[in-house]
Amino acid sequence: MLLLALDTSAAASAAVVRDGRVLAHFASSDTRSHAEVLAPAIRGLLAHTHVAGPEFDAIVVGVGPGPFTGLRAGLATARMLAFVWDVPLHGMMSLDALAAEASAAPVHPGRPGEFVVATDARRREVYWARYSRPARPGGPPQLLEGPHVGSAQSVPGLPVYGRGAGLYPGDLDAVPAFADSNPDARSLGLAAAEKLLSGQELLGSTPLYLRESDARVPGPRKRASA
Amino acid sequence: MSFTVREFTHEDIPLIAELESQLFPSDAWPLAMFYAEYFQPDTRRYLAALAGGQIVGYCGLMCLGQTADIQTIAVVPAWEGRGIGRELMRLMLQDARSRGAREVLLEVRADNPRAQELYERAGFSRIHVRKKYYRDGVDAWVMRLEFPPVVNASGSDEHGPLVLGIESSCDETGVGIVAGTRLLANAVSSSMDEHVRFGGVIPEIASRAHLDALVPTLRQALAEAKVTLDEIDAIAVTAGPGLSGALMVGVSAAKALALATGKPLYAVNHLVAHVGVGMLGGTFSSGLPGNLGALLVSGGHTEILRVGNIVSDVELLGATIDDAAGEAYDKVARLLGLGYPGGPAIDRVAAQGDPRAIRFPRGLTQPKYMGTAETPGPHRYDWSFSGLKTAVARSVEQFAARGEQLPVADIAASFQEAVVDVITAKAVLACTEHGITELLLGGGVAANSRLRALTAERCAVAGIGLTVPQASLCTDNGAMVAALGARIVMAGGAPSDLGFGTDSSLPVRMVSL
Repeated sequence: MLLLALDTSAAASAAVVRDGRVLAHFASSDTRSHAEVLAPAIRGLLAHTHVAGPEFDAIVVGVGPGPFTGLRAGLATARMLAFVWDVPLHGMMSLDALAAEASAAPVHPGRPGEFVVATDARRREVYWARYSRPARPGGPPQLLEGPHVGSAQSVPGLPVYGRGAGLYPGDLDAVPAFADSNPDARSLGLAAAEKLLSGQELLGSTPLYLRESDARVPGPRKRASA
Repeated sequence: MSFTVREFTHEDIPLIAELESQLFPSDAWPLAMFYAEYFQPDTRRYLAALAGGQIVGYCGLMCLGQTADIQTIAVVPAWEGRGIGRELMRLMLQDARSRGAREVLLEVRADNPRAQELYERAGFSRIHVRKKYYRDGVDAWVMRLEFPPVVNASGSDEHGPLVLGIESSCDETGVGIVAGTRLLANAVSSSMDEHVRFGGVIPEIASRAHLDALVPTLRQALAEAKVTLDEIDAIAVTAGPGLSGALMVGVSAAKALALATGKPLYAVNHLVAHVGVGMLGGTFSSGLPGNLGALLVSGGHTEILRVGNIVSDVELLGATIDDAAGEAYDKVARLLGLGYPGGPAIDRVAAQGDPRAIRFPRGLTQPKYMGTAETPGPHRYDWSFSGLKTAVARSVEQFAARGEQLPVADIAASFQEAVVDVITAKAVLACTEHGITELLLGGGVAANSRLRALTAERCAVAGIGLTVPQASLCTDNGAMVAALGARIVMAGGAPSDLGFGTDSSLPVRMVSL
């Protein structure tokens, strides 16, 4: 199964994944240039892997949660590529990508079977979700709750993976090796491929904004003169 | 006896008016109307059929933009049945097509099956009935003929490259397709309804709507133009100015489209695209004149531009220093309880009011701002509308404080007059002082009746030709982006690198990135 995976829920990343192997990968560390870097990056991946777009079995895109503008850059790209190449488009919750990496990492004895993944939601908040470790080695972690958006204090007292934990070390039990980690298209693509192969349904490409726009319905008119 | 067809001459007109009064006793056009039509050769074509030195038939066509109208067609009864009507029709359709029309409309009496049959044979079909349209109470059938787009195997036609344009700078998701200067599709999805309760465009709501509207709008445009993505020669997209988050949706989608199709992508300036739209629809189809100005008035913009060359020489002469005119309309409409969007609401109410009832200020018109032509002040061609909005608010409060009923229509009319007066006065001044002899009026507020009327009046006095594109091309759309893209392609401009970014305040001199 040949997949193109994209995620722009935090940084921008893209990967070409075939049969459980990453053929090529791109990731930026910048969180504010997705509309600039993503398309050239995908062009580079296609050239490097000699894959023509219509050969993909599917495109998988991280649907967030993530800061709105960057998130949409990935979704707009994925939807257009899927339309032009006429290949199926699937969505994955972006925190699942980080959860897959977390559950594959060595665990210290005495750590509980549950953990949290958290990313930066800006405005002094994090996006987070709670998972249980895989029932069998190499299996997928189980999503128990989330995604949510809220303050670091609102996150359960469990080991926390991801940049959201790194930002609030006083409030969260950050796992040091993951303190800078963002969701990445490699893990997203690999996790999606496993799900598809085991016959599970993925999400659609509807973004998980979790917050409404800040717009307020105007109140009564302010007086122009005293 | 055979007949010949030629264009009207000046001498034909009294003879034809005489024939007309015999053929259409109840609805004849007056002589002056034939003259008025005759003197507009840019958009009209009148033909006479002659036999034995006599005029035995005549017809007239009007072509504005993509729509042509059969103005009149008549054959003297003694000469009916000899193919004269059919030949006149054939020549008019040929002319309409060569002028870039995509459809031809006509009205025919419901009680004239013979004429209806002629039109049906020519390919027209009935789309509408106008009740009691004729003076004697007879209904009119409106009939339409649509031309299929002329596209050859290479995907472009004699009018130039086939370009697809994407626009997402504000609350309109637009995808348009042009062949050079010929409009093939103009699909627009607006999120305006979602902004109504906020009284203005909310960028995040607009951006969310763009994401969901883009692919469906693209599909619609392709269907409308009857072209496939393979046939497209190039893609153009608005890179700025506009709302940053909104721009980014269109740009991301356009880059993906370019990447997936392998077509070149041109990142273009939204404001210059508003000028480029003037090339669609036949007015400047062979290219824009060199001494062109553009007055752009919308919810996001109020600018006067000098356009020496649309791909290489565009200069900002003046702009608003605070609110855009359309924004002022929205805010004042809210003050007056007229709802959103404010432009059409105020325009409608103002028609019932006295524009001289209240003298509202004209911003930046004092000598210290204006200076003189030789030593211009700091804001000679600039506008300011925030003080005007405050003046309206004060006026509303004063009426309330005195316990008087608010004269909504008078305030609306006086406000509108203040806006339109200062916009047109400064725009015409900028034109005359920069040798501009042709002005294009664009942007959503170009639909405002008073702005159109006063611009036309003042341009006429100053000897400036005025062009106002059809309303669907004045508001934000993808066709204008495509039109500018096509012009850049034809001028040999280089495509943009896929790594370009959006620029919410892209200056007009940057026509493309």
